[in-house]
Amino acid sequence: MMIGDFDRKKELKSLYKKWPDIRRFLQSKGCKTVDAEDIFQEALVIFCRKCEEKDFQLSVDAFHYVKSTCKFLWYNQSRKSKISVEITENIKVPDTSDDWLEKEMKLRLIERAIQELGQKCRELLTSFYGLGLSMSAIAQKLGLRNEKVAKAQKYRCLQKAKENASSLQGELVEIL
Amino acid sequence: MKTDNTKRIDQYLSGELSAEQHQAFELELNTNSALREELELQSNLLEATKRAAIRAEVKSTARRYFYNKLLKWSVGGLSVVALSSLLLFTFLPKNESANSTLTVDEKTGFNIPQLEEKELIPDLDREIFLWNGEDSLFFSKSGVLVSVPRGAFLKDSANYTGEVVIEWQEAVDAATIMMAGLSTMADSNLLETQGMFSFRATDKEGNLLEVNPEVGIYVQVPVDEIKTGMQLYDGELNKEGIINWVNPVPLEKIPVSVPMSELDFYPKGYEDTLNKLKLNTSKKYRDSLYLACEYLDNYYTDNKPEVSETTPDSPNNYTYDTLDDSVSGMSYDIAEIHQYIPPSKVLSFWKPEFDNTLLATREFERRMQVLHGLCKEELLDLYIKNIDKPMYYVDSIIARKGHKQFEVFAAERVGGMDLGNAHLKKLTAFYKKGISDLKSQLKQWEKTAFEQGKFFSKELAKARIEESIRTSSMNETSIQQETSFNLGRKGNVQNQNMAVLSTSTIIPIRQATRSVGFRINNNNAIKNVDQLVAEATRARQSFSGAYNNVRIAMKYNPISFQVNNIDEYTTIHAYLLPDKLNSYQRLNSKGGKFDYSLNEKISYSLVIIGINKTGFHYYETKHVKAGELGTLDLLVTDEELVRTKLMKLNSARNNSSKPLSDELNWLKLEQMKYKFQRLSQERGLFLERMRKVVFPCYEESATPNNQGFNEISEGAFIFPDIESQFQPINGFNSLTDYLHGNTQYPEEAMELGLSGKVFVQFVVDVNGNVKDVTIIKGIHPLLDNEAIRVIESIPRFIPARINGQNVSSIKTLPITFYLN
Repeated sequence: MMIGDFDRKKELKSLYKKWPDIRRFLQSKGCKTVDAEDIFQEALVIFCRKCEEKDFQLSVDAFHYVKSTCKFLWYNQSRKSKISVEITENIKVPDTSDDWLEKEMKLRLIERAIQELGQKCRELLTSFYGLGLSMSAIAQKLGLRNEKVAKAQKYRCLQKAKENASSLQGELVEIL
Repeated sequence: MKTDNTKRIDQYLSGELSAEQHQAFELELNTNSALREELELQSNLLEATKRAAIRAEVKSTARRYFYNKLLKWSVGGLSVVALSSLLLFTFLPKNESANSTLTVDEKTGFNIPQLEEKELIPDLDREIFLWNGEDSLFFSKSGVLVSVPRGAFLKDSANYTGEVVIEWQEAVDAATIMMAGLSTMADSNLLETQGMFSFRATDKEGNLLEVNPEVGIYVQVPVDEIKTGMQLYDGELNKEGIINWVNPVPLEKIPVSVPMSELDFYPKGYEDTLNKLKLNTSKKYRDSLYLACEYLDNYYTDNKPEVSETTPDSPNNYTYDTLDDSVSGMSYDIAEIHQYIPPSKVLSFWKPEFDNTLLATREFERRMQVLHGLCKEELLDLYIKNIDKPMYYVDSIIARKGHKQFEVFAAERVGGMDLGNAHLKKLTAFYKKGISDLKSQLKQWEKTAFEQGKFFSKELAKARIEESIRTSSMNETSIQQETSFNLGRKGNVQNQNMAVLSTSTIIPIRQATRSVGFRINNNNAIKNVDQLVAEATRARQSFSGAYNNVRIAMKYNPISFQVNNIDEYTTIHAYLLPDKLNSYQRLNSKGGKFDYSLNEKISYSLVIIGINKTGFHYYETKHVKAGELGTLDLLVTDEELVRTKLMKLNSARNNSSKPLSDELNWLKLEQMKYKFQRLSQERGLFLERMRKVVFPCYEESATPNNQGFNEISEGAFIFPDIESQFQPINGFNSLTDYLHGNTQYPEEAMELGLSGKVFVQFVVDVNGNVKDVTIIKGIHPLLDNEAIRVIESIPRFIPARINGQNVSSIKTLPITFYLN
């Protein structure tokens, strides 16, 4: 899928080949492999979203951006989990203010609301918003009668996600 | 929350609202905070949905990443498995399909050559060797050595130089043979087997190669024992897969070349004996000693001209044979009497020139040991004559002559070594020349020794005559001088001496005891006082009286002494040197005791010179007193020192005293002769003993020999090194030419008619220069001096060498002066 010049699939594939490097890097910072993989994938998600923003211009190469993001995420996570981590390297990551981080954390929480939806709702929403498929294609994919049914279903799923997210927001306040 | 709001917000966010609806919605947002919150939430939810979509994609990328990795591993694992099954397949091809193919793994370059689908021997593992075209050796699992020389294979009758795959199968022990179900049948006869093996060579495409029959492949199979009649069979596989063994050929073992320098062809025990005696270990020395053993018979006793101890009564009977004459007519051929392997033959092939021949092998070394024991020269000749034939050819000839040991040798089937014809001819010529060179070397040694012995005999005989003449004259002179002294004619001893001698004619007569008698031919029968005093002096008796107003009073006091261990000396003499007289008196021992009487008015110095095998021994004392001196000890010294000491004593006692040099020369000659004789004798004994070691069939000669080696002195072990004798720069012939061209007959000598041979001894020092030229036997000073001059004029010699080091050496040459 192409958004602008960005070929997500290709970019992800090539970035994932660097996984061993990222793993070693994070491990050297005291991160466990399981956590490291989460952080790496999170960083890839952030990177992809960033690339899809209209005005975004990558000032460093993709790997460097992902690596910096990983470091930042790990720093944040370890700070929260009271793991003392010394960050000696000073890599400038764009938009890594506290606001950014707070928003990221919020989005992460809301994402959980999506994950908590049923499989059909989740697939419908991610297919429509995330992958940009047409409602008719989604209807066909999910075995719904027609586009209208799918659209009506979408609102219901959105409504459900919103409810999930509202209940999850209380937890977010506690975390922050 | 209402679904309506959600729908409206969604439509607002995705731009689906109309301009009016959009404006109305935004106005409502300004007033409705709940709607604002809802919008934010839904907006975030949208973002989160997008992220969730990406996250799903990331996860799928992750899965694909790990899957790819896993896929690579499993593919690798698979290929390993495939490879090992392939190897298994190459070793056990019958378990797989017959379609085995050449498999080349491009990545590793691992190359499994194509193999024949069936082994030559069924049910037996095969080993694969890759041969790259160079001389190579392969060792199989059970230790079979396969030697594949360069050019061993032919493809379509042409030399094949590419890589060759050699398949090897073997069953060398009974268990393997049984397990493989191998037949040991040759037609209907059961074979006793020492092992079976198969050999097959192919190129990399699997085409069968032929073995080049001119080069061959050498296979050495370890066997527990060599059985006579062991043969090599070809295996024929019949339809039932059973091997029938056909076409037996005798096995041939290829001897391995060993450099001659590493081989030992001495007779058994020869070196052990020398080592026990701690003798020189150099090969040169041992060779020369071995060569010295060659002549068994003391042929000089039969053939040599008798060297007569000429009696002093006939001094003119001396015959000085020429060197050439002395050896001519001698027979060296004594091999008929005794069976033995002549050292000259052994030493002639034991040379690096014979490297890479059948003789330079451990196999021949073992045969040589046996040949030495059999003492048959003609058997050694057989091997040398047939150097180009397989060794078993000669082995079996000798075996047929009835020598059991050679049956075993023949069974070894030791093959031959190919020698080019030209090379062979050269070797044969070299061998023959080697023998004749060594034989003439030996003759030269014998000749030299013989000459030396003869020379000493003659010289000594001559010296002894001179000594007896000198002694008698000296004794007479002594008495005359002492008589004069006793008569008080001190001032004119010399003249008086001459006067007395002139009035009496003394004729020395040699008697058995070598004491000298005399008679005086004097017409005057009346004894005067001179005569009385002379008689008393001769008798060494005191005498007193006065005649013609001259008072004579002479007194003699006896002196006696002994020498410690007098039996150890072969020659021992005491000399009394009077200070008032210029003569001296020699005393001989009688039963180990020396007795004399000293003139009371004369002071004497006593000198004792003893000679034994260790050299000169000396004693001296000045102003010796009469009486019993007891037992005196002599000290070891050398001839030179004795000479200097005597000179000193002589010059101290009297200005014109008679030197003892003649006496000393004679003593020296006595000692040399004694030493030479003793050494010759001991050397003879030593060689006799060595011959028993080196020639086992040698029967003890008549020479009584009950002496052990340890009783033989060191000098007996010294043998001329084969290469040690010094040489004139351009050889001995040129020396003869030089002497002919440079010797001048002195004119005076010609006028006097002097002629004969002058024997000159000289030393060639380490640098090859001539020095210490002395006349051993002279004719006349005129000729002697010319001989010395011409020898001293020789520019240089090549010095003698012992163990590679230059040494000085002594040589005696005859210079002949003859007149027509």
